[in-house]
Parts: sequence; C-alpha cells; structure tokens
Amino acid sequence: MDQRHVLHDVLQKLRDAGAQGDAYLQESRTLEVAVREGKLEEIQQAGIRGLGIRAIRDGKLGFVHTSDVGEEGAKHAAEKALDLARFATPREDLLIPEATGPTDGRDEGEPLGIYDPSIAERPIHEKEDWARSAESIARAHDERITKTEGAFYSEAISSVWLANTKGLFRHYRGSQVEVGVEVVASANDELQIGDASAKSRSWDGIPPAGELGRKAGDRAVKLLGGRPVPSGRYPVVFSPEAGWTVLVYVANALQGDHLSKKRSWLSGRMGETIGTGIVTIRDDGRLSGGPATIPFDGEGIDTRSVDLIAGGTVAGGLYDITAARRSGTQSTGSARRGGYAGLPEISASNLYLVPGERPPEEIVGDVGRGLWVWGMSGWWIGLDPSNADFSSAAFGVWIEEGKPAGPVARVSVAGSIEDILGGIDAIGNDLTHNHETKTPTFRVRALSVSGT
Amino acid sequence: MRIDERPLPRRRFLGIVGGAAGLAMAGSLEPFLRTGDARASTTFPLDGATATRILNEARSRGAPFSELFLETRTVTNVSLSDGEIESVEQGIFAGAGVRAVDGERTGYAYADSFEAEDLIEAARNASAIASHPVAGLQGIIYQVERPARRIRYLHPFDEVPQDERVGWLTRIDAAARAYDPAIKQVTIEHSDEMLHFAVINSDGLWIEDTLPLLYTRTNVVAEKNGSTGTGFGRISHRLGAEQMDGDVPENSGKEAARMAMVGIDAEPAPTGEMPVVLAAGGGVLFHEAVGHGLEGDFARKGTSVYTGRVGEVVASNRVSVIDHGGIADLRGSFNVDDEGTPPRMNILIERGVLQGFMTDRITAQALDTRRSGNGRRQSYRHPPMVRMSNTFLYQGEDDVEQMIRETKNGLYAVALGGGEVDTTTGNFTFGLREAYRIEDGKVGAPVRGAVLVGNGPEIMKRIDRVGPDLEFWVGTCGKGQWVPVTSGAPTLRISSMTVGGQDQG
Repeated sequence: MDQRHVLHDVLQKLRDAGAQGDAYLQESRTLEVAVREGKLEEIQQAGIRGLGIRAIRDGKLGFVHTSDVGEEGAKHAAEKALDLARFATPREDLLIPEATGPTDGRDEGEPLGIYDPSIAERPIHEKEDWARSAESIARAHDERITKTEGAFYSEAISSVWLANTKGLFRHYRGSQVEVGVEVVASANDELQIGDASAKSRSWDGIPPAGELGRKAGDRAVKLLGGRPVPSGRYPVVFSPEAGWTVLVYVANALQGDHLSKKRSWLSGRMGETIGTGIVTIRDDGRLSGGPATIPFDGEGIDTRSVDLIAGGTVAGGLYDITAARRSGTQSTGSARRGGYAGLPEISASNLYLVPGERPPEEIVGDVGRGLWVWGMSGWWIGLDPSNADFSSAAFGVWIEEGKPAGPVARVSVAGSIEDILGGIDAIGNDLTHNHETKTPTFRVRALSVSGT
Repeated sequence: MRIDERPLPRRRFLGIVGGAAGLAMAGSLEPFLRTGDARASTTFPLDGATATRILNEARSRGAPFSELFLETRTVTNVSLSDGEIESVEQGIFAGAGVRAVDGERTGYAYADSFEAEDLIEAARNASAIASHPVAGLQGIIYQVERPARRIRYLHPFDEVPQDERVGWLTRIDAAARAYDPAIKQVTIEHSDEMLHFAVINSDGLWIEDTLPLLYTRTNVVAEKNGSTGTGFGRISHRLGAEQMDGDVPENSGKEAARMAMVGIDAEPAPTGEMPVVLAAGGGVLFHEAVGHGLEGDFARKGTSVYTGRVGEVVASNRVSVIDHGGIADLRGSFNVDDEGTPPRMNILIERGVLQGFMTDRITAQALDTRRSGNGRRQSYRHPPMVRMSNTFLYQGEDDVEQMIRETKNGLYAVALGGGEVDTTTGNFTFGLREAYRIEDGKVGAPVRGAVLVGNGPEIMKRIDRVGPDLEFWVGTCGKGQWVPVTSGAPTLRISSMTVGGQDQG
C-alpha cells in the first residue's frame, strides 16, 4: 500500500469540499507470549491497520476512523467526516498547523532511539525464554513463593503517517517491548502478589529476567501478611512503584485545556511556589529511547521538553494548538493520539521527577517512624483537575528507626498535592525510565495515613 | 487524561469506573427475565466451507478446539463542553479473531478483515500454541442458532440521526445549568454503538447476535464562595435510543448538578475505622470485594483468596451474591456470551456460603464445572476471559431508616466513584463521590475527598444490615480488557471499615 497516495486522496477530498483537516494512518504488529508454571500458556499475534480523519469545515469538527484503508474505504470515510462536521458547534480556535518538519516521509523515529528493527527479527522462543526464566527465578526466590500468575513478553512494532491539508507529511516507526512477572507468596492462609514490569524500545534495553524475577519475588515475600497501622500523621517515603501516581495528578492539573478553561486548581497560578526547592517535574516528549517518546504529536507539532514544576515553582503546562491559542502561548507538542481511532488529546509523555543524589536506603534510614509506600491502589479514583485532593489506598513497609519493621496493607494516604510537593524533603538517585511516568524514591515530611 | 482509556499496568488492572444508574429492581427477578422477538441479523461474508478451513487451520498443530469470532461495531461519539458540541465522531471496527485452545493454553490472532486468506493466516498464528501430532481433521457440521432474546430494543442506533444525539446533550446541559446559578461547568461525553457479532467454533456452534449500547456521562462543577463541588450523572442501558425517551436526559443533568451542589458544602472526610451505611446502588463494593475473586481464572491458578473454599461460610448470613448476564435492559447484559454460552443466574454466595465460581470455557474445564455464561471480550481483538456481567447483592428486609438511626457515629455513603481490588489478598479500595457523616443516628454534614479501604473477605462478614431497595450502578470494568458491567446492591450497613480522609479530627 502506498501510504502517501491514500493520505493524498483523503486530503484532496477535504480540500475539494472547502474543508481543512488531517489524516493519521497507523500500521502495527503485536506479539504477546505468556508463560505460567514453566509452560507456554498464551500466544497472541495481530496486525492492525487503520485511518483516522479529522475534517474541519467552517470551524466545525467531524472525525471518522476506519480499518478499511483501501481507496474506496478511505474516500468514503473522508466524506463521512465532512458530513459529521455539520453537527458540531463552530469554533474559532480549531486550527490545522502549517507544515513543519521533513515532508519527504522519512522515518523520524530511529534518531530518537525509539525503533529497533532487531526486535521483530528475534525468534519467538527467545521471547518465551525470557518469560520462562523470569518466572522460574521469581519462584525460586523464596520457599514461601508457592503460586504464580506467570510472566509475559509483549511487543508492538508501529508505523505512523500524519498528513494535513497544509502540506504536512510526516512519518515515524517505533518499537515497544513490555515484560513482566507476577508470583504469589503464601503463609498462614494469607496470599500476597509480587510483581515487576518494565518497558523498553530496544531489545538490548530489556532488563535481565533475573532482575525482574528477583524483584517480583522479593516484593511478594516482604509484603506478605500486611496489616493496617494506627491512623496518624507520619513521614511517608514513596518508592518508584508508588510515587508516579502523584505526577499524574500534577500533569492533569497542568493540562492546557484545564488551565485555559479555568478548570484546574492551578489555573492562574503560574510562577507560584507550591513545592520545595528540590522539586522539578519534567515532561520530555523527546527523551532518547523514552517509552513515550515520539518525534511529533497527533497534530504534527514537534515534541519537546517542558518543566511543569521547576525548583518548586509552577513553571509550565501541556498544550495542544487549541489550548495554546486560548492561553496565548505555543503548543508543547502534547496533543497525543491513543491510536488511529482517537482524536488528539492533551497528555503527558515521559513524565518524571528529576532525581536527586541520595541513595534510597539513606532516605529511609533517616526516618524515625513512618510509612514506606511500595504501591498504590485506587489512586486514580479522585483524579479531578478542579481540586488538589489526593487520596489512595497504599501498601508497603513500616519504618522504625530507619529500618524496615514489617509489611503494611489496607491503609490510605491522603493530602493535597500542595501538601505533598511542599513536603518533599529528600529525592533519591534511583530514577529509571522504564515506564512513561516515573519518579525516583522521594520522601514527604508528614502526610495523613488512615488505618486502624 | 481519561481514566477509562489509560492503559493500565497488567497487574493493577482490576479497576472499575462509572457511576450510579437509577434503575430500581423489584422484589422478584422474574420481570427482568423476559425473552422476546428475534430481530433479524445480517450475516457476515463467510460460508461454512471457509469457516471450516479457518477452524481446521487453527487446529492443525494439535489444539483440539478452535473458534472464530467475527464483529462489526459502529460507534458514534459526541462530546459537549461549555455548551458547545466539540466534535461528532464515528468509527467502524470490523474484523475477526481466531482462537486455538489446547487445555489451559490459548493461541489467539486477529485481522481487521473478513478475507479468507487473512483469517487463515491468523488461524495459522493461533495454531502455534499447540504441538501435537494431528489425525485427519474432519469437516464441521454447523448448528446455526439464534440466541434466546433477553434484550429487546426498539430504536437501533444506526437509524438515529445526528441531530437527535446533539439534542440529548444540549438538553442535559440545559437542565444541569438551570438547576442552580452556581453550576459553572458541564461536560458531557456520549457514546453509542451497534455491535453485530458471530461465534463459530469447531464443535459446530454458529451463533450471531446484534446488541445496542449507550453510555452518556455528564460531569458538572459547581462553584460558590470559592468552594467547588463536582457531580456526575450516567445513562447506560443495553437498549436502543428509546432509553433517552421522556425526560431521561433532563433528569440525568439535574442529578449531576444536585451532587455538585452538595459537594460545595462538603467538609474533609473523617479518618479511621467506623460503621458505614452504603446507600442502594453501592454494588461496586461487591464487584471489587468479592466479584473478581470469584472469577474462575484466579481460582484455576490458585491465586484467588477464595480458591478451594466452596461450601465454606465467606460472608454474613444476610449476604447472597448473584451474577446474571441475562437481565433485560441492564448495561452488563447479553443474549449470549462471547463464546456462545447463554447467560444464566449464577448464585455465587447464598446466605453467606460460597457456592461456586464464574467460568468461561477454559476455566469450566479446568475446574470441572459447567460454563456459567461469563466468557466475555472487549472486541475481536481480544480472546475471551472470565468476566462479571451484572453482579449484585440480593436484597434483604432491614429497614433503611432504622439502619441509620441505629448507627451512632459513622459514614453514610450515597454515591461511589470507581474501585480497585487485588484478588490475591482481597484488599480493595473505592472512592466516595457523595457521602455524609452520621452523627447520633442522623445524617449530618456532607464530606469529600475520601476512599474506603478494606479486605473483601473481612468486609463480607461485617455486613450486619441489608435493606429491601436493590439498585444497579453502571460501570466499565478493566481487567486488561474493558467490558460494560453493572453492580447492584440495596442499602446496607458494614459494622466497621477504614475511611481514608484528610481530617485527623
């Protein structure tokens, strides 16, 4: 299939109708291999191909997606998008950008370290071996590990083309591997899951099976038998497996659409200090080899790095073209598409808390009595840009005199995001970019913990 | 960022999002179990001989069972924000998935196509799960069936003009704004779909069905004297456009606005252990607390907290929990599940005693029990797995007002947000959208910003009152794949659970 030809025909249809718009074409191949109790339990494979068309006529937006990307199917979809646009409300701020970047259709993914052709060339048994080995190492980690949910390897190889009625024509390829393992420890009629997972753009970036296997096994055993602690205000240390949830709240409040419509508790608060001086939260859409790195966003704008919080001060937001225009600023390349079937929506990319210099053991070692959170549950329930409240169930390890003093479960941690960022007094050096949203270990002086 | 589209980490997938549906249920199940007319369904471009070639290709390396799932789904989305229709979207998903099953092992592949060569290639990929010698594969004689109709609808969405949808949204918006001048923002996301699917398998089953679904979510923010409150309304039934008849849109907008106004006056929620009275419709608690643990796949792996406990007392004797995919009109219903099994009433817990697990084909075989009609999938791009449908705690006889009067100090939870559970420990959490303090046996001030935290098996034993007023809550359940569900409960009381708020009072 000639992608340029398909996109050209679609855009011509839009132009002929006096409309503007863009067309987003995606082709992906996916593979997933799951192993349980040492045996191959599931293989899934698929090829996905689809087209999403945005048609804007008289400021009104219609959108159609289809998996029929043949000549007739694509033309029909373009007509449908034009028809649907009739029913939307006209908006002045709905714009298709001028063409930027290369227009020769070259792959812009490989220079950013997001495409590794060797992944597809590796035989399936090597991928199965990773999972089998991770599961077996996790199960052998401790004699209390008696059951397993198994281990998996999954990969997706994708190509994306985006073209618009103003001459934009851009393309990238990307590869993404995700691996993970989950085992269950048991004692005294209680069960506890322990899990570990990681993403990588390249084959060489996949962590050794033993590393994740031991981590999953260790978590299961150390969390086994967790109990609530008495309610109170305590220092709370967030591990990388828990701390990222706080960043989701910050990025949600700093989405340009929420800011420009005054829907965010941070609207109108640029330049205000809400965190301690060591807190810098960055969203870097071009991080080399980052799990969320792409060269251009769903509107065709170059991705970039933005400091949302810089040294404790509210420093920036995430904007698409529309929100940027409303706010009198520039798009940050944050209009991301979840795939061909979705409209571009403002979203963070590689979002992280800039690491400090302290080893995590030292940050825990400073705590007299407090909670070391290893994971959050239901953290997303209260996510709402209109208020700063954060509350989530948490599990982890109790700290007494700087030492781990037994597992904790069924407690909740609550506070405003300002309480959290304004209470961060230590940030670790253990940041890894193995998921889209990550923090190193960090500590908050005091937060409300509910238990017994 | 929309939670229901954020890719969830594989393990922490047992979340549910959604909201309250004001659908009351009468004293008996009978009125909901009617069956009805057979609406003619179109057929896919596939003949029996081609189906057999595909199914046999999937079995060519020794998998004893194979299955073909074909689907076309037309989805229309309309969104409204600040009184403006932001976009009108439409999409068609069309394709087929092929599954090869060898005991507890699954090979799955799909194509965005109905072309024979594409599906044979998918079948070849799926077949790789097995590696046994194969005797000659025979032809398959198909038994073409139509499912018994439990879901009757009048107005399919493919016949609804766009301006009718726009009309629903503007009416919701107007009703919410008219409720109070403090209502500052109204955003509405509407989605409806017509799903046509076929399940064809190597046992000779060939079954097709067509289902409508609508989901309209309204979020309202109220602001007064520097304080904000949020409220939501949901409309979702397994019905056609007739579910928007009358003043349904207006009522949904008003309800969202009412909740937002309550939020303005809310104080920080209390902290610690206390009795909780859960108003009717709080079924998400049981979806999380016991439902997931009773999905047979976790029992098959031995990783559910309920593994091997059939016949044991797992809840107070006031508690009976049922899952039933065939209750007419409910969002979680279907005429036949995605493996071709008819839904039925599955009593999971009866008067506190564990009766059994929900199953799909693979788990029914592994657990040596019958298929419960809970094999569901998000689309042809996903293999079926064990999923809840409409899960509810059966109603009791305790008086609701008395229940509150007898509670000295505690929490009255009226509307719940989403929830999440770890099926291995049974530890769960869910959010409060609308809740009040109970002080001296009376409903007091509204509270905000809290989650409820607990352990499923423990909480089930602490249910000491169950009212007569069963209501259902609509949601979308995530377990690596998303499926529409409801969860139901009458008003009930839990003698003690952890409320996680910010007020250390």
